[in-house]
Amino acid sequence: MAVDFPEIEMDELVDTDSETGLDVPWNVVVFNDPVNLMSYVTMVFEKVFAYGKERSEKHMMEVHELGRSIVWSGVREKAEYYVERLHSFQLLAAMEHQSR
Amino acid sequence: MEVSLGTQGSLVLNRLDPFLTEILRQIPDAANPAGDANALARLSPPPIVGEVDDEFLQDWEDYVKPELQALFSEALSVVSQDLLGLMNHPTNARNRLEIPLEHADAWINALNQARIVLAERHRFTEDELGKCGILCFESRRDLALVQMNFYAMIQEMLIRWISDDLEDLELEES
Repeated sequence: MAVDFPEIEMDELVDTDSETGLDVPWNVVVFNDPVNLMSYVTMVFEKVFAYGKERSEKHMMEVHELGRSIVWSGVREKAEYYVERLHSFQLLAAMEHQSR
Repeated sequence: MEVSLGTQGSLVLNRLDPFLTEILRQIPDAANPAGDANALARLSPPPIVGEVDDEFLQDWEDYVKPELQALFSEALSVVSQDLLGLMNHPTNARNRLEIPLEHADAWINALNQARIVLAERHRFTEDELGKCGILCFESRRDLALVQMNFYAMIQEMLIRWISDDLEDLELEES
């Protein structure tokens, strides 16, 4: 027996409210601080996020040259955890809602 | 000063003259932010930007900040303990300091903390921080910059050591 599925309008499905949606990601941002050594910042990214040297250096250079780098995005609880870890290494880090 | 690898898996700073010995001895004091609001604020930056979340900030203040402060104190305590070996021989003109591999993370953290607090306490500009080669000084502020640069050198060496990247320094075993 054939079943007729109702037609779905895709536009309606993807149009979610970004202000109240639970899955809107949070960014973990690291800001430039002239005191922290470049090698130190790279090492911290390797330790905290288990990023490879190349990726860690890329974020470190973004911080150095652009003043900030989004080093991770995802759910709020994990963003809080990463910010705490980055603060434990005395990096200037904060989380921000991706919708901002 | 000479740097070598110890036989027990340690980094050894040999032939430290009295001046460098004293600068090393001052790490715990230099890293202490007490009495300096800027330094205290820098070690506890805001965890969130672009949002007002009072409940989260209060929780951070109550639970996370004390944990971080305990972590910083722990690192300084490890460094202070290692420095006891250095300070036990105040009359020795050429001192020796041995940093065990398992203490390297604490040293890197404590040196970073000391550099941050010194920078805040003396309000160094980015340009001043870039002057790596200052060898003469006429004020307490100049001395603090020398102190910061020496700590940076040790920190860099420790980072390379734990990253297994010391080849070009041609260190000998002592």
